[in-house]
Amino acid sequence: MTKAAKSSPPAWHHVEQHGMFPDHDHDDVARFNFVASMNKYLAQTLGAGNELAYDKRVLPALKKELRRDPRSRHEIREAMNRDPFHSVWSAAKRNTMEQRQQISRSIVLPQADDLKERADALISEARNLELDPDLALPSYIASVDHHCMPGSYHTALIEGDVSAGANYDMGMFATTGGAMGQLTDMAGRAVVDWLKANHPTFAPKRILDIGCTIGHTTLPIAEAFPDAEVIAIDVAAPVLRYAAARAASLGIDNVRFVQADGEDLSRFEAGSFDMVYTSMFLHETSNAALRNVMAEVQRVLAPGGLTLHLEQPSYTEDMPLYEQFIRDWDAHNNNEPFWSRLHDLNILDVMQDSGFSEPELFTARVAAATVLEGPEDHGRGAAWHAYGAQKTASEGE
Amino acid sequence: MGAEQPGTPTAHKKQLAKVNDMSDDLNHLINKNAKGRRPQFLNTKAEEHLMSMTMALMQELAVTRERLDTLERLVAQKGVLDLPEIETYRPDAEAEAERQTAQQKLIATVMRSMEQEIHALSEQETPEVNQQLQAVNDDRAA
Ligand SMILES: C[S@@+](CC[C@H](N)C(=O)[O-])C[C@H]1O[C@@H](n2cnc3c(N)ncnc32)[C@H](O)[C@@H]1O
Repeated sequence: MTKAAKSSPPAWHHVEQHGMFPDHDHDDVARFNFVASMNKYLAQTLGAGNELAYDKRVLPALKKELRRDPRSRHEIREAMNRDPFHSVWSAAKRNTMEQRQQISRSIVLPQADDLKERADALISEARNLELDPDLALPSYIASVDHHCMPGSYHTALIEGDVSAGANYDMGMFATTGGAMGQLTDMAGRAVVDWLKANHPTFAPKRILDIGCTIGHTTLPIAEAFPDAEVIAIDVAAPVLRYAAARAASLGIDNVRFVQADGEDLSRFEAGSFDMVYTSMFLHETSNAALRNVMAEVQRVLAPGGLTLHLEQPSYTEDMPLYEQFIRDWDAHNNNEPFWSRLHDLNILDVMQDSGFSEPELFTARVAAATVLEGPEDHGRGAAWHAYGAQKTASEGE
Repeated sequence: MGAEQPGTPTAHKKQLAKVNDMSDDLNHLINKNAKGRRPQFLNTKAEEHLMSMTMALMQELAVTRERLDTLERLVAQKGVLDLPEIETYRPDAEAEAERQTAQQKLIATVMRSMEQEIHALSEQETPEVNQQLQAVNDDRAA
């Protein structure tokens, strides 16, 4: 039997068709297949060319110009942006991001009304969704559409709109080359695996997910702790509506999706959660918001409770400058305005400023192995850097 | 969030009314810009457009190829073509592998010049190679 070329991502039809998944046709699938293949090609085959161009011509010229080695990823970026190979590579990569948005918008928007109706039938305001139409959108969210997503997470095109959630959900399998699994839930599964390995007796009764979007990461955690009450918050209503409907269609009933701002958790009592986590959330908040969120996390976490924050690795001194530069691409070219500054921060320092004590803090590598249905070995590791803390248990516990 | 802010149902009601009966407006909405500065990667705006068009053409060519592939496989399989079947065709593992490989081949064809730059960067062109080429050409000419 023919094996797919090594560099091929799994075809998009492997994505799981849950009850909220938008209808799509043959050519829609083919478009996603193209974007996924193109992404992989840019990352692997042509990605190597960026480093070659750097080593062979950009770095030597830069050294001559500076009369020293480059000292920051910013110096490298300025020089690389003048390189013809890297410029074309970047332009192509940016286009794949824009194409990915256009593809899913062309599928989702014409059926926005139907999706809303499907969601309405699945959502129960009493049980799994609580919206707050008066919640102010943080200015850092309103001012830029993250990762080239027109309208971002929060734009509602119709009353009760879920199209932002559907749009986000559809493209994920293509942009991650399937590495996050058929339900894009690898991060959640990785957290569960990590907890089982490192805290085998941990049985949280109440869990908080901040910046949950459509609950990709929330659901596997809720599933692993079926007796726990899971509260998943986000500021954006369209993604929350989609999240609640999606969870219901997948039969998960212990999650409540709440429209709230992580900077102000005053609705929750101090010490009322055994576990508070975020996943790929910190890099989409401003530094000021990050500090506010961490202070709230520290406050609502119960003694003995765990907090865990999954991110890409910070740019530490031992990370080579070229790697810092290439990891920073999204910050400058994919509408991720906080990415660069966040990764310059020592998140543990921020947590310490928020009231965690040094012995409570830790970092961890949180990983899951990708398993895809079918005989193909498309397996790719999905791994994150986690910044965490275990709050000291109070006296007598 | 105030009701008149962008991104609220109120601000988009008009847009939706249009969307329901005019496909031009729907296209406009689909192709909306993401808020935020778009970097210029190439020397001119015109080059940016050419790049975007090339990428879109590549995408649509890949889509056409995949559709054709589906068509051919179905025709061969059944002897008869039932058009709605194309929409629900799901490749088996072998067809998936072949199609994903075809995607890679198409991309490599279109992106040839970039790959060639990588080759040029990684290999030092030696005079010896050029001599061989010269010899071949001389043979042909003779
Ligand atoms: C990259 S997404 C997170 C992805 C998600 N956690 C996952 O693992 O699939 C970031 C989300 O954070 C939300 N967000 C940003 N600032 C927020 C805040 N201050 N409070 C709550 N949610 C926020 C955004 O609306 C967006 O949905």
